[in-house]
Amino acid sequence: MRLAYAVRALADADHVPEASDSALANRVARGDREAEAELYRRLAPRARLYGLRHLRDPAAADDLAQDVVLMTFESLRSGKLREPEHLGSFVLGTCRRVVAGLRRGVARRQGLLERFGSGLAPAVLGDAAPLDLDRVTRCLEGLPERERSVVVLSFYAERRTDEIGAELGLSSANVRVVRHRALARLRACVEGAS
Amino acid sequence: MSQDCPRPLELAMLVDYWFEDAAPPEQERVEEHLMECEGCSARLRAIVALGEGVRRAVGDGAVQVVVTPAFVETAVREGLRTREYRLPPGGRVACTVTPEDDLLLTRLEADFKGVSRLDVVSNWEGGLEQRLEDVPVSPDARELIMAQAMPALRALGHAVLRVRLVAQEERGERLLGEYTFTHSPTRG
Repeated sequence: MRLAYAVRALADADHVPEASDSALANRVARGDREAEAELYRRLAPRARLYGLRHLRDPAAADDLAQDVVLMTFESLRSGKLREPEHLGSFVLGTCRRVVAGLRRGVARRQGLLERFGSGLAPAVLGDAAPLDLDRVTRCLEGLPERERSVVVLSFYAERRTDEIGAELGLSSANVRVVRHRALARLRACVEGAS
Repeated sequence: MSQDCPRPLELAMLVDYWFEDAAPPEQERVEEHLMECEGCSARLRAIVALGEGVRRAVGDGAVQVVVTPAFVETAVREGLRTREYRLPPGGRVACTVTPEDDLLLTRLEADFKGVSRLDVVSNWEGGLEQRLEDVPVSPDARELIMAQAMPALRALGHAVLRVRLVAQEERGERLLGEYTFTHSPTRG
C-alpha cells in the first residue's frame, strides 16, 4: 500500500497540476504522499534522460532515476535540502554524483529500495507515448538519402559526429546541420504534421 | 522550477547536447535547464524516443539506407544475421534472401574520387527506373554499402535488378559502375 501514490500518479497521468516543483518539494518535506507521487512523476523522467545521455543504457538510466529521486525525497524529509527553489540544482548534482559513483562501480541503492520500495520506477518512468513503428519507417523512407543515412548512423551505429562525417565525406558541421534538419522533418512526420 | 518555459531551448541545441556536440559550458547550461524545465525535457525525451524507433526500424531491416562499415560492425555486434553481396563494376550475382536473414547488404565497388554528387539508379527488368539522388559517400570509400528493405525483398519473386552508380558532374553524368542482381526467392 505504501506505493499507492505511484499507482495514483499513473492513473492521473493526464492531469496537469498547477503546483510548482518547489511547492511540491515543500509538501514532500512535510510527508505529503500525493505530492511525492506528483514530484516523482515529474523528476524521474528528467533524471532518466540525464542517465540515458551519460550512461547510454536504458536499464542503468532507470536505476539512476529511481535512486536520484528517492535520495531527493530523503533529503527533503530529513531537512538536508532546505531550499526547495534549488531543487533542480540538487537533483542535477545528485545525478552527477550517482553517475560518477556508478562509474567507480559503487552500488548504493539497496538501502533506499528497502526503505521506499522497488515497485516505483519502470511504469512511472516510461512517460513517452508508444511510437507507431510503421509510421517511423514510412517517415524514414521519406527523408532524403543523406538525411536518412545521418539519422541512422547517429541513432543505430551511435557514432560520434566527426566519425559519421569521416565515413560519409562530410564535415562535422555539415553532419550536424543535416541531422538537425532530418530530425525536425522526421519528428513532424511522425507526429502527423506533414 | 516550473511547468512553463520562458526561454525554451532550440531543438538544435537539444540535439547537439544529446550527441555530445555542445561545448562543455553549454552542455552544463543545457543540463541545468533540462532538470528544471518540463517542456524542454519532454521535447528531448520525444527525440530520444524517436531515435529508439529508428533503431528498431533499422534493426528490423525495414528501411533501405546507405550505411558505412561502422553500421555493419554495430549490426554484427548486436547479433543481426547479415547477408552480403559484393560486386565490382560490371559484376553480376545470383542472390536471394532467406527467412533467417535480418539484414541484406549490397556492396558496390567503385572509385569515388572527385565525386561530389552520386545518384543510384535502379531498374527492375520490365519495370520503372528508380533514382536515389545525392546519396552520401566519401571520396575515399572503395564501395557503396546499402542496407536493403527486407519486407520488399521477401515478397519478391524471380527478378533481375540492374543498378548504376552515376556521378553528377558539370558536363553531365559519368557512369562509375553497373551491377546486376539476379534474384530468386528462397522457400521458407
